[in-house]
Amino acid sequence: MSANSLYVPQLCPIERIRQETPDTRTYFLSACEIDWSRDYRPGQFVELSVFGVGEAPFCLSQSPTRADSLEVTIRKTGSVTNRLHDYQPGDVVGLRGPFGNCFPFERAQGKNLLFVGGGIGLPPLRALINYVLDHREDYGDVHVFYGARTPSDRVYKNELQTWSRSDQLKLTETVDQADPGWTGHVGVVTKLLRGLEVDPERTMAFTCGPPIMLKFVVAELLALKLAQRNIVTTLERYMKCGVGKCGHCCVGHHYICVDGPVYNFEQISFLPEIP
Amino acid sequence: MDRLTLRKSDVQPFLDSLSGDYRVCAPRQIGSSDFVFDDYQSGQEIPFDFVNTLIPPKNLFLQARETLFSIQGTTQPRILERAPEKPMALFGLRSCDASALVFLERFFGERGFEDETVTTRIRHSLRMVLACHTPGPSCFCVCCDGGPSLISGFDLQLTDLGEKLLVEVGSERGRAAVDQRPALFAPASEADHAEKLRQVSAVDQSFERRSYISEGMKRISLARIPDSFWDNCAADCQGCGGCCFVCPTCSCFSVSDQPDGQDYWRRDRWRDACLYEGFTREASGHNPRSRRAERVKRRFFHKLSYQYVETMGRHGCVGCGRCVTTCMGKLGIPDFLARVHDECK
Ligand SMILES: Cc1cc2nc3c(=O)[nH]c(=O)nc-3n(C[C@H](O)[C@H](O)[C@H](O)COP(=O)(O)OP(=O)(O)OC[C@H]3O[C@@H](n4cnc5c(N)ncnc54)[C@H](O)[C@@H]3O)c2cc1C
Ligand code: SF4
Ligand code: SF4
Ligand code: FES
Repeated sequence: MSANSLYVPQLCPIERIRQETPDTRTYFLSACEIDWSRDYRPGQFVELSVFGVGEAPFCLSQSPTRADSLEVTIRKTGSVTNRLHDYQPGDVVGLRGPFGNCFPFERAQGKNLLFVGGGIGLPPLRALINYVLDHREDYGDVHVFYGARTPSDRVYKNELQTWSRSDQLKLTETVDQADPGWTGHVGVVTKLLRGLEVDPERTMAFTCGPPIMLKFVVAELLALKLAQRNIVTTLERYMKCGVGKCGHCCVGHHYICVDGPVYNFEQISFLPEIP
Repeated sequence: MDRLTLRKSDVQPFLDSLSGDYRVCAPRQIGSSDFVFDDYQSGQEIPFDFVNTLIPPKNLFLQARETLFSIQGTTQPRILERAPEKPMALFGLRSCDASALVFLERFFGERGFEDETVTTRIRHSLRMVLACHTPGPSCFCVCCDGGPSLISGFDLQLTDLGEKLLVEVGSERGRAAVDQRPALFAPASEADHAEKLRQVSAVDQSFERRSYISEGMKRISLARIPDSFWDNCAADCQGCGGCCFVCPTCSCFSVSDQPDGQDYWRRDRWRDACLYEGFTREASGHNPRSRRAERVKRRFFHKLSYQYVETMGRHGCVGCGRCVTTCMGKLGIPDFLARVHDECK
């Protein structure tokens, strides 16, 4: 190993690309060279290199129980993600990881699980949802809520269809703006939570999405009498290194890249700067 | 501890003899009154009467900009790793800067990942610390456990005894450097040691004691500082990041790919500063620290809070005083803490 191997990525060819929405694609990365490819935990992330531009953090969006290839679902937002959008199968990216803590899937055992995802917030949750489905007997009822702006902004459309027919979990979807073919709910995802029957002692909620959505979702979940520590999310900060060195993600004395990105809201209430 | 002496006239031969095993660096005068830490050139004059270098020797360990690795191609890339480096021998670094290197070695080794580029450079370096006999006007290492002389954290510690230096051995590496050159070193006498102890106590007396320093650290740790105070500080901070760049313990950096000729790129890391607006700006445009007051608060929390003492074993300030000289808004650490004392009742 060289002295600076901490920052040297492993090379990883793209096997397949699936267009999820106009601006979001899922990349299936060849796992052959990656010795941890079945050895990561749901909620962890990687630093992905687009050579000539740079690196950015992305969560691993598939459960390790299903990782024939490593999956990342990425929306076009800036320099790395725009360039990546031009990549084709066979092109090679760099990978460092897996980084960060993970969802508390052990503490969740025996509990009923609520998943509340908004837009591009579904990928991290999907890693855990599929993990739970592959260890189904360890968990109680599973209810997934997913909200997107329009029907075409939904990611994993085939998988959502499979889930909607499955007896292993319940899926409730909503969109902000329907189109003619849409038969599901219309409106913000928080509306679906209102008045939900839950046993707060036996329920854990996992939620990811835009900050504004999170704020309202948490308020609803607290109204359902869930304890703060049973409401779990992932925090996003600008990250450069992923290994607790560059300082960018530091909040209070927490390095979100190492101590996080998964936090429950009791922990978050002790972090400065995070509303 | 082993004590020897080295004649000042033997310093150059000593450094020349180290240059086989080490990249030797020492302070050098530039202009009329400034000093920099730089590669030692054989025969170069070695200063003994200077307060400290403008830029800390930290920059030799965590460079202002350096290449992590090179890349050939983009979609079918090949990674070209860096060649190994020769270890460094630093002659005449100050106690505060040596304390900062101990801090950085720990920082870059912690949290489950080791940044070996930095830790190896520090760990393999020969650190020859020159104890201070006359603190500069901005120095306050005594309040921060950073100097003016050390009991650990050096390979050799040098005390100026006029014609000669008292040399204290602080590590195996220092031991070897001395043992391999018996002709240059003589045993120290009781009188030499007594003179050092006299100097230590005299230097200690020459610092102004500032009780508000620990008071301010406590207020910061307990978040007992009103927002209006941070707003006032932010009005004086120019957001230049100078304090971060001259600080021997600040270590934040950014990373990006830079073109380096036809079909080649370098992945560079370059020092960054938490006082810059873009430091925390996310790809969505959202910035959790968009106000300067929030960034100023962040800097002082990181430097001075007990929360970091818990994880790092000491405060993030070694009292070198460089931020005092650099800041045009009077927000160097002691000035800032004096404001906390005066303005936060
Ligand atoms: C732990 C974690 C997990 C994440 N997981 C995912 C995930 O699974 N999927 C996902 O899609 N995202 C994820 N993200 C977010 C993702 O990391 C960011 O979208 C990504 O860093 C954007 O990188 P970029 O280089 O493309 O953008 P940057 O270039 O860094 O963009 C920064 C901003 O600058 C703007 N900008 C960029 N280039 C220019 C230019 N030339 N001129 C003007 N403005 C410009 C962009 O519009 C953007 O607003 C995650 C983030 C974290 C911290
Ligand atoms: S904060 Fe200021 S005084 Fe303290 S170590 Fe850094 S530059 Fe020196
Ligand atoms: S801060 Fe202390 S150790 Fe550093 S140069 Fe000044 S007196 Fe010397
Ligand atoms: S991303 Fe560099 S410290 Fe967290």
